[in-house]
Amino acid sequence: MDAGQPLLVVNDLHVAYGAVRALHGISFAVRDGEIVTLIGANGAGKSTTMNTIIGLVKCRQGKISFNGEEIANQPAHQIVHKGLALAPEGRRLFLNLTVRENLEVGGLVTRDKGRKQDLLTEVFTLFPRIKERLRQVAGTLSGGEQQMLAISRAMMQDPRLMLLDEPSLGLAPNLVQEIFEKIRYLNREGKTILLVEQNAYQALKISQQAHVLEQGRIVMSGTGAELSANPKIKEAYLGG
Amino acid sequence: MINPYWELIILLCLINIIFTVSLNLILGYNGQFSLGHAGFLAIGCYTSGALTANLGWPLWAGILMSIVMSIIGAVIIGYPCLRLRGDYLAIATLGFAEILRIMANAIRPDLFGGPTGMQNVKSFYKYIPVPEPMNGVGNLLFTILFTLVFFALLVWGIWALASFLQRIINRRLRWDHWRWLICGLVVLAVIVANFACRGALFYRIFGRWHYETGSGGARIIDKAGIFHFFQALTKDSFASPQWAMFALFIVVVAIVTWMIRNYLISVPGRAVVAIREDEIAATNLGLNCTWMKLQNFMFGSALAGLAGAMLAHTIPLFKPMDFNFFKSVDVLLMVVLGGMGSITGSFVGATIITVLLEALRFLGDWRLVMYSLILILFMIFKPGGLLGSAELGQLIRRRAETAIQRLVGDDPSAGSEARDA
Repeated sequence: MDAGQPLLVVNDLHVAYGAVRALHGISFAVRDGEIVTLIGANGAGKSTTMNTIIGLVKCRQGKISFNGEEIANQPAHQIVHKGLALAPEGRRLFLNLTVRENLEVGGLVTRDKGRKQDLLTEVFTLFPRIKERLRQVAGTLSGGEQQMLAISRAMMQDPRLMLLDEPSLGLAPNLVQEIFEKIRYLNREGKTILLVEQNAYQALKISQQAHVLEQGRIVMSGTGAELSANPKIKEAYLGG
Repeated sequence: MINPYWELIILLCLINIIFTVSLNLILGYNGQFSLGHAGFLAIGCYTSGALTANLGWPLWAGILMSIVMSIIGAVIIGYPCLRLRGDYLAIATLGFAEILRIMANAIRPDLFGGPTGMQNVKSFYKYIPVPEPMNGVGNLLFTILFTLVFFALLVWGIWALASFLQRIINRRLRWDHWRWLICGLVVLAVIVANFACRGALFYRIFGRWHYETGSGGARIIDKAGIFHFFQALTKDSFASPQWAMFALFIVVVAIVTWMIRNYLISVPGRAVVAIREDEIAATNLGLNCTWMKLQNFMFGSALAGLAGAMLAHTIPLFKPMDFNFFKSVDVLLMVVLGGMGSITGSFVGATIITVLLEALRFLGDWRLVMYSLILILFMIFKPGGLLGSAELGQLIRRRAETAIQRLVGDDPSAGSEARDA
């Protein structure tokens, strides 16, 4: 797919939790229509990057611009209205609410009722399983279904850029495969996606751009294919 | 006439329902702990009381002001506390209520009555004009209206039951017109039952009518039916201020319930429940959590203020000690007993505890012991409250559905609402 204009530009981002510094100035860009992946070991700062972009964590220094607009250190509820949506790590569903209610809460940002209905139809075509489970309580869904719901909930916000934090976490291999196919499908439908993954092999396969994070720094960047061919990456993240 | 003691208890029940629902909104739906909810009741009570009794304001202005003052109080306490996550609100509201109580003790005894409280607040009775006994036409109109409503409800009830059974039977035996069959069967059963008791059933419902071919047409000659019941009700009881008072309170409770229901299915209501479930996820979804929590807190406090204003004009005397920590605990228990996150649960909880407090009065100080014992038992056997987070209607429907499915032999887990009670 042709990559368009840069949609999200992260420039020299520094984040610290108290005295513990999590990000030491990372910079990358996500172009319109791309899938960009951040891979890295535990504690490398992948989720911190995501949370900082969406505004849950404040940054010390650096710039984040979305669609040409500066969004660094704005409150999360304002950032979300600009067209970003995060499917957070560990899914963070409203476990005591039904699937329908979860989707409704996801769609609260979208005020237009017709658009909301369109989004719901989109969700149902992508995840027919969600439609079957509408009346069920989210906590009783299986892990895979919960992940689908988390992505659906993010879709209901009608975002231009979706941030998916570890969508394959804790899923069985065949479900991982399915989730990645759905992500690819979403991308083809026109969503730009920033992906954080432990499952580097699958993630690199579907992404146009990838960055490797190590201890809060980007140590390597390239296309998905380049990185999966790189011997160092193979050794560190792809299991030899 | 109901005796004045029970009358007061019924009115207190209705006030406590509003008070409990207001806390349920904050505690049950939004998960924010307010340990000093009696403070808002006190604001409502004292504002309306002082304004109407000592400053000569009209009643409506007094009630309006007590709602406004409660909202102001909620903003003062809520704005700093609700920006944080955790139990800060509980501690702050606890302190807030105590400060208010001590202020009511000490400040302006000429206005607020000091420690002895206020006795000169005019009761609602002084405001309600005593209704005239109804004349023939008004009585007849009301009777016809009530009778129509009664039969409409009856028909609707049978139809709802039939539709419900239709849904269940249709799963096993596909036929689109079960409900008609069921309605027919019900009508048939009523007629058969009427025959079985030699017409006593229809006599009870319709009374006995006499038809004269010459002059008058139909005329009731035996006053036993529903029609006569409503006629008697609207003629005598409706003319008493007591009924006017009940009607007023019930209307207020109904309006409050309707408002809350609409609130909960609207955007802010959904947001508030989402914040209870997971505040970070809610932030992620673009909700301004602080503002949502604050406006919910304001709404809840406004209702508590309304309850307070109603209380001021119902009970003959109130004093600062009526709004101490135990009052806050009482309302907390009403919410927890009924079920957090259930409006009908609050109705049940408020009624039970209000009546229980009176019923256990003969025990003297042991009342509190019994009271705690009942609550401990509740916490052991029904920790989620009587209704959990479900509404009464949902609960009954679900129970019935499982029972009938078991009867029909269907798999009860298939397609049922899986939300656990």
